[in-house]
This record gives sequence, C-alpha cells and structure tokens, in this order.
Amino acid sequence: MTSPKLAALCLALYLLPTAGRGDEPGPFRSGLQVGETAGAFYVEDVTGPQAGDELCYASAFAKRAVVNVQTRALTRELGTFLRELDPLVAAAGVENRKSDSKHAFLVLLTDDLEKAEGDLLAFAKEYSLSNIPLTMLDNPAGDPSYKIAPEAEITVMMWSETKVRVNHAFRAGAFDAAARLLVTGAARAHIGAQPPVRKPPVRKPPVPGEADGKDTTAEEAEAKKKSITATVGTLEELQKEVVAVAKEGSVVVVDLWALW
Amino acid sequence: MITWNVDFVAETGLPSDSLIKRVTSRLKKKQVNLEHRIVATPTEKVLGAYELFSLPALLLFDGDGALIQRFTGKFSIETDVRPVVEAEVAKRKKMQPKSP
Repeated sequence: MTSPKLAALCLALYLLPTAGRGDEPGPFRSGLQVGETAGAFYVEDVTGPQAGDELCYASAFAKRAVVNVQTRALTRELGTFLRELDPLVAAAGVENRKSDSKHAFLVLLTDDLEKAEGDLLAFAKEYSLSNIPLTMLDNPAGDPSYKIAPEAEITVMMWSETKVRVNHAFRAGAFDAAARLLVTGAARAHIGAQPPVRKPPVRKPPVPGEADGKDTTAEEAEAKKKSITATVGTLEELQKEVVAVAKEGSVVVVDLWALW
Repeated sequence: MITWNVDFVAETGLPSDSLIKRVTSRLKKKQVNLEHRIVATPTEKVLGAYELFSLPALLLFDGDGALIQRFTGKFSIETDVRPVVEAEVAKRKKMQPKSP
C-alpha cells in the first residue's frame, strides 16, 4: 500500500466512531466517550519512573496527547500494540515531558496486586516496553469516573487537552489482529496530529489583575472588581520571595496548581 | 500560604494576558483568598526544581526558607499537611528566646 493510501486509511480509522467488536450488534461502549473529560485517578506505578508509588498519570501528563489502555487482561495482541506504540511516545519522567510530548500508560484492573505486579513486570520485559509505564489499579471494576464496562476486557482512550478524542472498547477476546491494526492507526494519528503550542509574546508583564480590556467576560470582570490578583515572577524570583516571607514569620506553604 | 500557578510553558517571555485572566478568573471562582503568583518559568522546570512528579503539590518551607517537605500524589491538608506545619511551628516557638 502506498503512503498516501496508508495515511488515508489511518485517518479514516481515527475518525471512526467507537468501534464495537463484541458479539452483540451495535457499538460496545466502555470508558470515557469522545468529548468527555479525562480526570484524575490514582494507580500504582509498577514499571514507570515512580514504581512502587501511588500517583495520577492523567494529572502528570496534563494537557498532552495521551493514549491510555485500561485492561483486565494482558494479551499478546495488546503487547504487540504497546510494543509498536512505545517508541512513538516519550518516557514518563518529568525530564521527558515537553509541552508537546506524547505519552501513554497502561492500567491493569485487578483484585490481586501481587500477581498483577509480577505479570506487568514480565509483560514489560517480553514486549520491551520502556517508555509506557505499566500500572495497576486495586479495583477490577476500574475507577468509577472512567466508566469501564463490566464486560470490557480492553478499553483504549486517547485524549489531549484532557478531552477524549478516541475511544475503542473490546470484550474478552475481541482485541484481535484486526482490532490491533485499527487501534494502532488511531493512536498514530492521535499522537501525530496535535495542534502546535502557541507561545505567549515577549513583553512587559501586565499590571496584576488588570486585563487588557479585550474579550473580558463577566466572570473575569467580576474577578477584577473583587481584586483577587496573581502577580507574575520567575521561579528564581518567587524562591527569593519564599525565603523573605519565611524569615519574617515561621513556615511557608506553597501550593502548586494548574488550571487543568 | 502562597499559591503558584504553573501553567506557563514557554521557554522565554512572560505569561500572556489570556493566561493571567484565566488564572485570576479561576481564583475568583474558587474564592481563594491567599497570595497568588504565576510562575513565569516552564512547568517542567518548576517540577524538576522540586523533584515533583505531578500536580497538585504542596511545598513546605521552614523559617529559613529551606524546603522541609513536599506533598504530592494523594495527600490531605488535614491529616497530612496540618500536623507537619503545626510541629514545625511548635519547633520554631521553642527555639525563640524567651522575652524578659
């Protein structure tokens, strides 16, 4: 197949709605659907940079393009899919996360963490997975907010800007070679088609809390009126501020947060 | 307590008006009456500086400005942070010279 044809096929597969591959007619639905928001949920890291810790990869990857597999079984086809995906995504460590880096992680839904840990370590080795962290969730039903169907074996969700763009779900045994090709094409399209990140213009900082007057919503106008402000400073400047504040008083608590 | 927003991602420049507006708007909506800062340093550099893996996170600095503890992942203000802050405050009080 020529490259343009292959690209067209990948695009067509990417744009397909949720593909049901169960035995019953109609689409099989599991997990967050297209347009829904991928929120925080905690998993235990097994092969990632935080192995042994409980953490939220959805938060760690924030707005970046993410491929997330939530599964109840570690199958050969799943391993093959992840092996193909692994070199296309960045490793999960903070040092590998750029504004436009792409990431993936797998969650094994289980009620036997000890066995799951061993299985995941062996799976990572067998399929040479070094960039995709394999994690486990001590709940075979999955995190409730992700709405994993009880009959789903493998649910693949792809999101960016925290919005789910692609969802493919499979009952037991339905993730076969054809399904793998479909999902691989969708994943390739997903992580290769992100909009460029817009860099803010270089200029003087605006007066804190004062907007530029353009496109101000009622909510923003109200915020301005109530004088809740946020001043801008580089990390170095803010670190100096913390030291100065600490010396005046006692302890200083800094809460780091992001809009997402 | 100070809040640091770390949505800025560019290597150079300053946070856009749009980002400042969105941050301010969110703070107003949540009615967070603290000192607020927007860090004009890329997110990953800020996370790296404190060896943080993900957000939200909380940093606790002692009276000399030295980082004494970081809270990340699953933590509770009441059960995890408050006891450490209170212990640190008590320690500082003990160290203060008694007034005549």
